[in-house]
Amino acid sequence: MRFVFDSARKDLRWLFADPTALILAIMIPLIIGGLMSTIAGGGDTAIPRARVLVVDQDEGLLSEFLQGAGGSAQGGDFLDIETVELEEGRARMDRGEASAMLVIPAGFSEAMLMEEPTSIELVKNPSQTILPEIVEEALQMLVEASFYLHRVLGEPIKAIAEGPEEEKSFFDDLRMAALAVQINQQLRALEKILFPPVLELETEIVREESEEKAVPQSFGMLFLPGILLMAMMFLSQSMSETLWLEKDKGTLRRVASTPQSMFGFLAGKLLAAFLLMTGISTAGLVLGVWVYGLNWTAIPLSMIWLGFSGCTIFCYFILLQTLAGSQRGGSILSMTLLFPLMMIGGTFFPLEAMPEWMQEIAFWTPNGQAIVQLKTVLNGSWQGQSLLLAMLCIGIPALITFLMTSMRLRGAFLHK
Amino acid sequence: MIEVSNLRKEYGDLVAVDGASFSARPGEIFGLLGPNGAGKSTSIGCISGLLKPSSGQVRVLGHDVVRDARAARASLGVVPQELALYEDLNARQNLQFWGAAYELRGSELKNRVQEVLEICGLLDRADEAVKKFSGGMKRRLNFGCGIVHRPKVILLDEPTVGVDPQSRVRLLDLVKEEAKRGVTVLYTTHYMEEAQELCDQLAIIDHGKMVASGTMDELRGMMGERDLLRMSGSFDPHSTEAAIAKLPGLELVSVDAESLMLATAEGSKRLPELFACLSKVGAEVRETTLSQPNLENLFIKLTGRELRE
Ligand SMILES: Nc1ncnc2c1ncn2[C@@H]1O[C@H](COP(=O)(O)OP(=O)(O)OP(=O)(O)O)[C@@H](O)[C@H]1O
Ligand SMILES: [Mg+2]
Repeated sequence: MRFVFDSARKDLRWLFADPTALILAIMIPLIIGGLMSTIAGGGDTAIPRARVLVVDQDEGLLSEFLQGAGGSAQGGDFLDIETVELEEGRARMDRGEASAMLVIPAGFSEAMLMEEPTSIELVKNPSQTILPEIVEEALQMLVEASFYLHRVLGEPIKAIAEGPEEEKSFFDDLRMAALAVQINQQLRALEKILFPPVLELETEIVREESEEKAVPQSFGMLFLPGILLMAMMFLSQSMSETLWLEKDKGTLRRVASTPQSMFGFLAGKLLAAFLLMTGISTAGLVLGVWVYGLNWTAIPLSMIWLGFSGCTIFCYFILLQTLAGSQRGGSILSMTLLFPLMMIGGTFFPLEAMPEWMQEIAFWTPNGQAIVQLKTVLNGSWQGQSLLLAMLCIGIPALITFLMTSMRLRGAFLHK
Repeated sequence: MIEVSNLRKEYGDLVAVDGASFSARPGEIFGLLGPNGAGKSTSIGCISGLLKPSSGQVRVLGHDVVRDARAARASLGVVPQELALYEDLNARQNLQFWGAAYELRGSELKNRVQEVLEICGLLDRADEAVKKFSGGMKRRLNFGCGIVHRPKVILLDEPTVGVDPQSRVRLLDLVKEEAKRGVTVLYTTHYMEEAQELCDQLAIIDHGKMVASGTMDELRGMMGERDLLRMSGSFDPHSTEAAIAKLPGLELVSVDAESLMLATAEGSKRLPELFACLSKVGAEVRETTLSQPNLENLFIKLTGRELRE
């Protein structure tokens, strides 16, 4: 049992002897947080909205789509799309009244549907940096989406674009229904692939509209939990890589020849991870108090919760490391888990900014669970029962993977 | 005390250790001598509990290494062939960690670490990161980490590979001192001289099989008072073999198109008649070496191969 502490002390000494990994794990989330903060226009709480003027000389499907997107549940929060005449648009852009202006030439929709070369004009507001970028990014995505749409839905799209068969002025009902069903089916299958990029656009500028500095609505509350959890996840990933270092350096073999159990050795790593994570989250939380007016009293429980949930993620990473065939493999494997997990688990983008179906997926990820509870702890609305339930939900699978890993260490992993 | 009986370890089709049996007593240095790939590290792995033997039994201080693994491991000190150190930590922290892994604590651990640092001649570099050490210093620390808990049985796997002559002498002295204190030492090497100088008991192992074992004197006795004659040139194996058979007291060890090896008493006196006989069958001798009985000759005699090839 005391070896757990010896092992933890060794790991902490090791980490601090070469703190690159540690620094990265803290810096990356901070940088991302800083970026978010810049996008949001500094420390104040006013919501940024991208005002986009659309000059629609096409009056086809695309402009309808754009207007629809602007008014939709997700897009409507931060995109103001306004249809204007060309002259008026140019004048308003000159006055700096909008982030960007989009000029859709006549015949654009049809050209796009038929996959014929065409162009679209985007006028960006030079005094704004990020919002026009986002609009451009979104447009780029639309172009790509149209490319993929053609790959997937080429047939029905062309059929619509070409118009009804000769001698008829409209599609007959049967043909129309068949087309609709075809599109609908393909779209359903595609929904999962197509939505994330759109999401990226939306969430980069997402903000709750609120004037008062009420804690739950503030920028800090929206992004701080994600940043903290992101740091925990980066730390978990990089600490899990020490398993391969132990193996390659021969120290794992030496541990295996001592009377100590691999369970104790690994528990030491877990303890080191926990101490480090609670330490770093405390620093982050203190920063949260200072910058975002977070309540002091939320710190102790938040810090423990962050350490705990970080450790559960660490358990998955160490198992992945033992499943890989080499250190490089382990690195790649754990990274491939890390990023999607952060994306769908509400760590990278706030859960509130996600479509409902993604929030439901996030609920099933350990970091998603962690962040939901963390928010309640931070704003003081937490309930013992649901916190305990979440703890069991993410703790039990983690415990199982931990046991599996400790069994693999002496066997399959050691003799790889 | 180490007792190994009929130890066998297979890796798929390959038999790395094939029925090894030996025992090493307290205060004794038992040498395991063999070329690369002979199965020395595999044997050590089985004894230290890292590898599961395919069959056979290993006992350390009476504890079966499979059934009573913890107790067996607790009495063992292992110095692995490959360095096993935390290079980012300093020498003292390494020793502290491995000492703690064998349940040393507090002032006892602290004092012992200090002692081992002194033994290994690393006291003045104790607080420096191991990655800044020279190869020989790492080797000495690697040894130190294996003995920090004062084990009753020490397994050393080629601990002097890549060490300068000075450090080597120092390491060998350390091993001898441990044995003097009553520790059982198992020492593997492919250096004849080292085995000859260090070991009280020796087993020669090749392709996983023990080809000979005993004290140094017993092994010399197996060689007899005979010299080993090595010739290179061009030979016709068949006619050479037939010609040699007619010469009494000459034992053919091996022959191929380019070399010939013979064992004989008083080798220098037999040379003239041997040359005469060889030229008669058309053999051409370019170089001849004659060596006195030693372990190397014994190995060649037993396996027909040089130890270092
Ligand atoms: N994990 C393994 N899987 C398959 N074969 C192995 C494994 N480890 C060792 N071997 C084989 O077992 C045989 C004995 O290897 P071993 O390492 O015991 O030799 P050794 O006597 O220690 O050699 P050296 O002097 O080079 O250290 C070799 O043929 C080696 O290729
Ligand atoms: Mg070896």
